[in-house]
Amino acid sequence: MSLSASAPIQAPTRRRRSSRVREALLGYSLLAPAFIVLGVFGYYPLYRLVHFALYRPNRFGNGEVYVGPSNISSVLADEEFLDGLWISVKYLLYTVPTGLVIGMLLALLSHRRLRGIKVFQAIFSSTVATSVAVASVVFFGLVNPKIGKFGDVSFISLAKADSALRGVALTSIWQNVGLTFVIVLAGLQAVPDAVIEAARVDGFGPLRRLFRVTLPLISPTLLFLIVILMIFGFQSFAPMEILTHGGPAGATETLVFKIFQRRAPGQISEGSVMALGLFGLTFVVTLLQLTILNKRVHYGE
Amino acid sequence: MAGVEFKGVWKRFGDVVAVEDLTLEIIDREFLVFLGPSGCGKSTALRMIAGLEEPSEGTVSIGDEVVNGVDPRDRDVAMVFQSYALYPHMTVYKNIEAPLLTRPMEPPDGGAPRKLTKEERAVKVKEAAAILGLEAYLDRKPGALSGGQRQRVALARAIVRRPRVFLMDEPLSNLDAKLRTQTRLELVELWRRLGITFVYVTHDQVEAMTMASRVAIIAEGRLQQLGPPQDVYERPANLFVARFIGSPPMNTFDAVARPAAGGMVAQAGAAVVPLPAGLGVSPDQAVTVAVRPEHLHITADGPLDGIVRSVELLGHEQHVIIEVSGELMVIRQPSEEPDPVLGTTVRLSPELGRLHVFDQASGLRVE
Ligand SMILES: Nc1ncnc2c1ncn2[C@@H]1O[C@H](COP(=O)(O)OP(=O)(O)OP(=O)(O)O)[C@@H](O)[C@H]1O
Ligand SMILES: [Mg+2]
Repeated sequence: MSLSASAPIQAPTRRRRSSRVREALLGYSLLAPAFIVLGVFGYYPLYRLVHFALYRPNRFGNGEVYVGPSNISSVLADEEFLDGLWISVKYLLYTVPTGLVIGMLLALLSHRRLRGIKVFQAIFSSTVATSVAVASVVFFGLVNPKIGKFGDVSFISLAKADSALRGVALTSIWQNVGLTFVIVLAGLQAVPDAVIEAARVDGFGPLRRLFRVTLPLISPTLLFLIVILMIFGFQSFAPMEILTHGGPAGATETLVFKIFQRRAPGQISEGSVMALGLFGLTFVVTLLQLTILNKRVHYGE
Repeated sequence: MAGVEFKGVWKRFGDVVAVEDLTLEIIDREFLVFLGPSGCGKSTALRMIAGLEEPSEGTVSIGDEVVNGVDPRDRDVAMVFQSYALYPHMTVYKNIEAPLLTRPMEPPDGGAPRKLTKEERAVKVKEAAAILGLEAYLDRKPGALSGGQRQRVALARAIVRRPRVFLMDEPLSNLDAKLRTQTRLELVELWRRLGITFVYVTHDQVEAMTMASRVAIIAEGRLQQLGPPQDVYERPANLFVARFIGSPPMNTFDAVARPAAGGMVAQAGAAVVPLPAGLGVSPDQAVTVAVRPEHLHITADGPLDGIVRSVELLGHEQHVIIEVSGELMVIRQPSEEPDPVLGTTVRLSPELGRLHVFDQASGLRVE
């Protein structure tokens, strides 16, 4: 019995091994496009960034000198970088909480079975589908100091250094509202009706239901949103470029904007260090949020 | 504590009529079971008591108060959901405590109702947890519990208060057979102990028969019969109830009532079955005759004849399946009876006093 059984076993083993190799090849070839895209647009630029941070090209771009890690520390400690960082942080403070709260309120209001509610849902989601550039142009039309309908509202006036950033932030807020709306609405729809009904029978009023049941249950979604909105906020560029060109007097020069300005060969080294600084910052913020908040956030079983 | 009353209640969802003209009084402190096939509207009826659905027409009262339009939290009812609907982000302790947070209620040591302190709530939570054997799990979240334990938490959350009415929507349907039997007993025990009205929804007739003070049988949104389980079993009000209650189900055959020498008989083809004396049938009335499997016997000279198709042995009893003019009938008899031989023709006689006769046109019972 065992003898007769041992012979036919070997053939399948060999076949199995070769089929496993084939399977692996197939797997890698399917992954290849992703690897290539990541490599060309992700890792190679990152490598160049590090390179430029350590080697400063000359003004004409045809030679470079080693400047070493001291370049990194001096740029990161420089007032320009810290100034851009502070403007970026203010920009986050203007855009993230406002967009989040308004988007969430709209989602909570439109999460109900009403006739025609789909129309509102489509309207509120539409800002996600609008490109940042188009949105910026629209807001330029609204808040432009010369022709804009709200050009003379001083709280958001683009003409004054102390209010221009708030005017610019409108575009991002508007977009964040739509994104928050779509994602929170999806989160709300995943909350089982019966749990909310149980809360009603248990005597929870609308507010208690919201804070004790609904929000805790969608907290993973909210965490995800906060992370995403902060990253978007750090990265936003088009609104400043289109509305103010960084002005007036550099009041809207966020970190990304400053990096963009330093793309000439003579400045690219400084720009690269700033970009690395922004990368490190985003990385740390995200990691912090995920680890600290993760403990306080409920994930459904 | 209070009864519940439905008066002419309808519930429509668009074109679907989920509950049709329901009039029903649930007596204070009884264990009323809504029993019916899937989709018949029993959950909808229960949810109208809870206030989770509003009647399209008619009134629902709890105690003496009409509760149409009253918010669920002001109705003072507790509900156990089919899916348990526990709060997944809260521990078992917090889940059970939840109904105590908002309402004024009697403190554990008696006195006028008021909002309870944290310590007083703890006493109540521990008490409810002890009744359901949950003390060891208070710090866990529902995700870390088995189905049976979750079901207990849902029950504990309901009994931690003393609501006027308990509502339960198929609370046992997710449990295995053994746990279901055990929990059934515990529920009845709980009901006796609390002295509160229970309204219980199920599609399982065993649950209804074993637990109910009275059963309300519902089909297609309409109340078919209301009564104690034994009454419903012994005197089904119509053909639907006759066929729905009992396992294996009632045997039925269509016949025509005819006058004969000793009284009325039911004639089905060549077979002539005598009907009980004094039955309100008229000559030539089309009827459906029904008899339970335990009231049909193999005899030498029975009025019906059929071919033995199969015998199912269940240990304590056997079911003999017999084909009678194209229809299958089931006989339930003790396993000591001799096994009938497959394929042979046997004669059957129903117990005269155990026949149920229904008018074919209306489906209603003829007495
Ligand atoms: N929210 C709703 N919208 C539309 N139709 C509904 C709604 N709720 C229930 N129905 C319909 O009403 C009828 C009765 O539903 P219900 O949930 O009361 O049935 P049920 O007897 O509890 O059934 P099951 O045993 O399957 O739970 C069904 O036909 C169902 O499709
Ligand atoms: Mg149901």
